[in-house]
Amino acid sequence: MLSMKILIVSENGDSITERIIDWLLHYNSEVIHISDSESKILYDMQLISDENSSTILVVDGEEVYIEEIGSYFWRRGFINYSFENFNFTMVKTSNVSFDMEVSKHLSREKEVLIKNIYFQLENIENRLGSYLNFEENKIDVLNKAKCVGLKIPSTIITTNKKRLIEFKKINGDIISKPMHSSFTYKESDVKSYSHLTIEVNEDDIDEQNDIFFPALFQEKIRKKYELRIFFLKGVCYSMAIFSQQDEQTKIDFRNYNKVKPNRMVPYILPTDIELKICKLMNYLELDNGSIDMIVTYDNNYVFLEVNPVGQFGMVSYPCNYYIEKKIAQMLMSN
Amino acid sequence: MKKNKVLLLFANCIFVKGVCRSTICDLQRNKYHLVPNSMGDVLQDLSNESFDQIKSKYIDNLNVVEEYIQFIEENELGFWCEKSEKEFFPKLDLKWDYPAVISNAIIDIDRNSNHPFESIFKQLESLGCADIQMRFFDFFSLEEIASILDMLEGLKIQSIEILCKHDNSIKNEDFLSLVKKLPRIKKITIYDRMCDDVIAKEDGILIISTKNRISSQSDCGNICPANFNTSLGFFSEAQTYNTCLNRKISIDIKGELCNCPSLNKRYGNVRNSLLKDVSDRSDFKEVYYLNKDQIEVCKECEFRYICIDCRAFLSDPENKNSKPSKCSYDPYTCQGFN
Repeated sequence: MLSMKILIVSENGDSITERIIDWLLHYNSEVIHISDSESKILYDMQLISDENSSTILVVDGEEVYIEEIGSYFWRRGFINYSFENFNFTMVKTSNVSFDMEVSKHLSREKEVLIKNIYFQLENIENRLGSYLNFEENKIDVLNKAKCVGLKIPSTIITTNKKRLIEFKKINGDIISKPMHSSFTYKESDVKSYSHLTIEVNEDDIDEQNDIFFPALFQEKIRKKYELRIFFLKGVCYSMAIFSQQDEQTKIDFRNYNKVKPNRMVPYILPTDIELKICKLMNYLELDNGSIDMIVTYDNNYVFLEVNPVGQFGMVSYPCNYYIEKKIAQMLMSN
Repeated sequence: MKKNKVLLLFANCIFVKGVCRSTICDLQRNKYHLVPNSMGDVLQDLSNESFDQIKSKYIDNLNVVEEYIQFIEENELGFWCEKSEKEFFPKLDLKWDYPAVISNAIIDIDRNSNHPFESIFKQLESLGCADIQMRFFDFFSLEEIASILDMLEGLKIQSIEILCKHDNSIKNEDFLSLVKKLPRIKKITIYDRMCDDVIAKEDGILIISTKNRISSQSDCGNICPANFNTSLGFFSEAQTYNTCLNRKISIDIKGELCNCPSLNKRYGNVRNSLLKDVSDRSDFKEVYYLNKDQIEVCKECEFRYICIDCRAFLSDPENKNSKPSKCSYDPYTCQGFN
């Protein structure tokens, strides 16, 4: 029986991954770390026959047999293959349209290959995280959260000014936020543009055309405190964030205040909320992820969103949870 | 003030009781507050019953209680919540753990030392050591120091601290360019200089000079508020471990291996012993567990979990649990720190 190795795929310089690997090395595990754009991955072969199957990649010069991998952790990032000798984007005949079509076809061929590796890796029993399943649709998530019995903010997605005015009338204070993910464009050292969560007032609405680019609006929930919960295979590691005292972070605690940081303390969820979170994560087929919630002055727990690839260090360190150590131990239990 | 609610300290604001006074250690914002011992009792009561309910107990001192509450509110050390919510806010679990056998090392160097640096650095890396303090007890030029540090190239050691001797040939800019070339260097202390000075303090790097004459390992072990560390990592480590010696290995000027060059016991020489073998010895590790709660005087001091310890220079050399000799503070009178 070949010794079982642990494969971790992450982005470059992901410090929490480095910390997990520190633990694994301390426990004398054999770790293969694929670091997004830093690692050099070559595709060697995949054999499928009646007698046996084998898949070999070459990672930074070392042969890796997929069947030797006992545990797999997809933290974030891609397995970037280098098809060095095949510079097929530069197929050049005198027929430009032919060149383009051939290139597209070869891309699709490559895609099948790459996707299959992810399928194989995600078939490994002891795995955490999923590249194939991490793109959550925020609107779908809200619907599913509602299905499992979690409270959600009243939400409208519309292109229509009239509907927006109506929505604001009913809900009072409202906010707007991106549907996919937050966006920042840095023009210079002192100027950047971003699309984050912001409050929307009557003047903002007045300025709009009758029909505008589709946007998501939600009732603004008055928060007693926020919760950031890291869900890891059925266990919730929760943290409460007190940001009300601070004007800068009142809307979105990620608009950080570096001088007087918000209070971040460990939290224990009420059992029924914990169960609903577990239900939701199972429904979404996510085995780990960060969940944001708000606790209101009426003690309602309102679900906001889930991030399958969030930074869980920001929960683990302030609360002293040692989640990195727990993940390392999980990956070691072959 | 919320009259029908209870007042809880945030989990990372921890009340540490001393003899005559206490501290509230704010582990998130890295600072401590000096407070009277009676505040502890008041906070204890306020965390169980609302202000209205405890009024009768403190009837003669209501203004003091109100002052305490105001202090907590102003410094954002606590919050009001309903009694039914208390169960959602647990205490901070103060366990401390580390993914390596050795976390930090001291290497002492003088003109007679002949350390195999390449081997030392490689061994420290494989033990998981993150920080190395290098103390040069004779004058070494920055080029000499840089050529030693170049051997860290490609290794996982995260930070270096240097103690080196002043010479008129070295200018402030030379230190700045050394740090730029070798970003692992996080702190440089230059001794034997004209005056105490802060040459640079930015981007997590500190370069200072001192007029102290430092000639050997005996010039270590200074206990003072400037060295207090109010971080969660340090505070939690202090609950169980000796905050100086835990997971530390040292190499003295002769290459002899020890917990600390100022302690007497030696465990072999780096030229014929492996660091791993020494760090695995149970007698080597014994001193890791001598934390403040076992040290006389210190165990009653309000600063015990934010203060570094020193087991080398003892107020009573016959008693290994005695207070560090270089600490001038007396927690029984609150005198000693300026």
